[in-house]
Amino acid sequence: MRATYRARYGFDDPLIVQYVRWLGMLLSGDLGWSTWQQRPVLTMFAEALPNTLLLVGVAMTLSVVCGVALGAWQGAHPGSLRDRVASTVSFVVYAVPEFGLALGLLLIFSEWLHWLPATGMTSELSMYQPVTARWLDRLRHLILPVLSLTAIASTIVARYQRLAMRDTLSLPFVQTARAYGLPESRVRRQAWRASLLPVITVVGLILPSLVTGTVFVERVFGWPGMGMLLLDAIFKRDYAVVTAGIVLGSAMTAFATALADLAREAADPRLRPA
Amino acid sequence: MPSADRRGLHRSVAWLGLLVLTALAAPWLSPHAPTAQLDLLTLNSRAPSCAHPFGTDAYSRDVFSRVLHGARISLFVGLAAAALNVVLAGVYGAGAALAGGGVERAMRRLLEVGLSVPRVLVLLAVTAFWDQLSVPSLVFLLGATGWFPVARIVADATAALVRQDFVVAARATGVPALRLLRVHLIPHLVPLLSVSATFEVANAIALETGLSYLGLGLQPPTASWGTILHDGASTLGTSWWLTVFPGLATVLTVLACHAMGDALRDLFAADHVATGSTSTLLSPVVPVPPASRP
Repeated sequence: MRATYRARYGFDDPLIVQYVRWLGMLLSGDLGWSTWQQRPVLTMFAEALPNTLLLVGVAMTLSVVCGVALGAWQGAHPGSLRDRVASTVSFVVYAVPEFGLALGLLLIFSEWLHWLPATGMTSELSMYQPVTARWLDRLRHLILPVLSLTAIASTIVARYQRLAMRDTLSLPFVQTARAYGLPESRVRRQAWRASLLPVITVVGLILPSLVTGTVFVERVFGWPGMGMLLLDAIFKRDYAVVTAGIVLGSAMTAFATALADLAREAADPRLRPA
Repeated sequence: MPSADRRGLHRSVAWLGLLVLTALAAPWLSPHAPTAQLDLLTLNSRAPSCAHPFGTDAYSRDVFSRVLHGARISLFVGLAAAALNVVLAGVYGAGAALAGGGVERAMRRLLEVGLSVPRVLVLLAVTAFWDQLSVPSLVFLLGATGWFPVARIVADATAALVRQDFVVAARATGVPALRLLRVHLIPHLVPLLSVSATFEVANAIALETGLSYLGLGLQPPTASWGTILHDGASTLGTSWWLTVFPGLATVLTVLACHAMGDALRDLFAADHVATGSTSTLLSPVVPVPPASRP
């Protein structure tokens, strides 16, 4: 029994042979066979990926928008009471571990206040509901996981944007604009556009943090995405899924970081090779 | 706002000091043994009361005692992993910068490879293949991952230091490599390394708790903040005290480490200003890194 299974999955071959075979399969787009669900790993990830992309995509967009807005506003009034209050709050949110924030939100808004659902992407009865109610139901399930991810990632963006905005406002061109008598709102808008450059890099920086966040947040809120799949596979000792998950996660992070680098080069002519 | 920063430093040091004392005295402070099942029939899953300030869990164990003992594990893991981390980063970073040439380029490429893989994925991958994680192996795991960013900063700082006149002069007069490192380089790297270590303590504590919460770190009978959270995860609605108390302990400790790291960095930055060496020739150009998350 054991011998037939070992032979079927090729566990009898030397490690190096198994590794080369796995590498060859990976390059041809085959992620292997799941011993746990008895189906190709690729289809399992194809099911989980859209859910994670929805979560991360919404969280990333929101955190860039919120972080840039908060940081620019803080950087325009550095040292003011509002800046200090916002800095303290964002320091606390920044330092809190992902699962701490997610568990706190879950406990308060779902278990104690019963405002929002605790787990999953949809309610059990959602397939029997009319279309609008179904969308609303999905939206309500999305709020807490997205909020957990967004809160942390946006504080990272805000930190950079605040410093960039503060530094830009002291540059000569801003002084010149003020000296010409431009209204302060227009001066700020000009400075803000110039201060966006370093912030683009941060988009690459928040990605690893979002990966970490996704693993914990998906577990806490029972969100059926890649993080959840990875964790389940670890407990089921399904190593094909685990390795595929790690490879996919790292590849996506590296790819997105490279994209952020390219975006920065496109936005800042000084970084282009002459 | 120097006064506010000082206050933050004082508060964080006070909390961390209290935590260290609590952790050291846990066996005497805690009313029960952390793994003692007091009375499975009558004392399971009790809400907080005078006899059990943090309540009891499903196995009738006193959560207050477990949280106190968890502080020992969290602090030990945090400090030991951070120490290992900083030593690895220091040796690798300084080594790369001092080696120079092709060796440095190769070592920096390797660092970039390490940097491109998110730390949590590495930890998950290793725990997937590692059956029972003990405290020392967890320390090893946390210490051996996540030192890449610090190593890069150390390499940059060392490379900048080596170009400084005093190092060039020391080398020209034939100071041996070890003495150069001990007398001329390490003192300038201490601010950077100590700030990085403080943030790393926070990261290691958060990761230990997180992994144990997922059920992948330390295993159940051990009383750590993460394993208590793991016990409480399925009964969040009814036994909230299993999540709130260890969760608050983790969050406050991680916050205190971050506050201390920030305050230390400001302190070192202030020292640079206070010595008045604004010329790039004299000022030790060692940038102190910002906080980093795992």
